[in-house]
Amino acid sequence: MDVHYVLLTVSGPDRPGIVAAIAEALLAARCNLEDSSMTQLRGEFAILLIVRLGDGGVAALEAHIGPAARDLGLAYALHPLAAGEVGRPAAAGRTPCLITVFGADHPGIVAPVARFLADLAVNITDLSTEVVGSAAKPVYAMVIEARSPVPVEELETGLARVARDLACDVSVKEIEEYPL
Amino acid sequence: MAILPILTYPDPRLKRLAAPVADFGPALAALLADLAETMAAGPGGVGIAAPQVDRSLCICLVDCSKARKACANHGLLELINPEIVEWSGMAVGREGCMSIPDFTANVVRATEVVCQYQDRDGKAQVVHAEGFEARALQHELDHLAGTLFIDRVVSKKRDVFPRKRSR
Ligand SMILES: [Zn+2]
Repeated sequence: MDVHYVLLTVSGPDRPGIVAAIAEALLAARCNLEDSSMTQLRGEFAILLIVRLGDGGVAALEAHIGPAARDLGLAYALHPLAAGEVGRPAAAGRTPCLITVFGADHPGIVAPVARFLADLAVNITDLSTEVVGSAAKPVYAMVIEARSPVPVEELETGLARVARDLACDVSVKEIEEYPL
Repeated sequence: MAILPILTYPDPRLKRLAAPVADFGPALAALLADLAETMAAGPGGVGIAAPQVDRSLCICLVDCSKARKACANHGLLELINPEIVEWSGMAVGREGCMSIPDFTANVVRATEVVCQYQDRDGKAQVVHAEGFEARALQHELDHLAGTLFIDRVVSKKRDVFPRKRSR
């Protein structure tokens, strides 16, 4: 199998210059940074990206990423992708929606919400959570973007039930997209 | 009538300032017909601006009766030399554009606008639009000034700002 794309993950203690160093390493390896998501989680910085390999293939990528990661104390991993894995999944027939869950922080908020969505075949496309508020009164905040095969009202009713059990506030709204 | 090819980003012609229309003759009627046909063939089908088909003129079409979701609208609006003279309210919405295929992002727009324009006969008109129609007007008028929605992106994804309810 010819590998043309890899999923590269990089993470480690946050500091300015991580993105620059990784992007420079990719450039030097003649790789293309395609879709990516990079974010700061507390004191860590995490990078997920799809890289299109250059002529040097995985070897060239590793030769450049390795030293860059070492210099910054970052861990990285490479996962080769088959050609069929890099397309965009079809979104037809699915409603894009935004789900937010807020509540007093306690264990077991994500699991029941995610299970409820999974059982309806709702596809989570983006999820982030954060513990906010004071140390004495921590608040859990979760924001989910998803594509739902069921109507938003049905999600709303079901999630309201889940949220009641969790003593959380939940909101679901359709993300209206305006093709112009 | 003809479906005209759509210029796509990064074509520099999308960034030109469009010229005002002075001639309200048969050539304008023909262009309006082509624009309508091209708009209808697009993925959204609710808006198009002449610069998108390489006619650098202050003309755009908006037809929110064709929106996927029903909304307040004035049917087909043929806006020649349009100008927005009043804005109010603010809302975030995720826009796409025929000239930037496959990309959507959140853009802040006024929720209500008043737009002065000329119709195909050159007669002065005014339209008061709100909601999606107001957004479509602002998006299409931007094209006349060489502005694309990517110049106005507030965030790629998440939209947690509460939407302002329309009264
Ligand atoms: Zn556009």
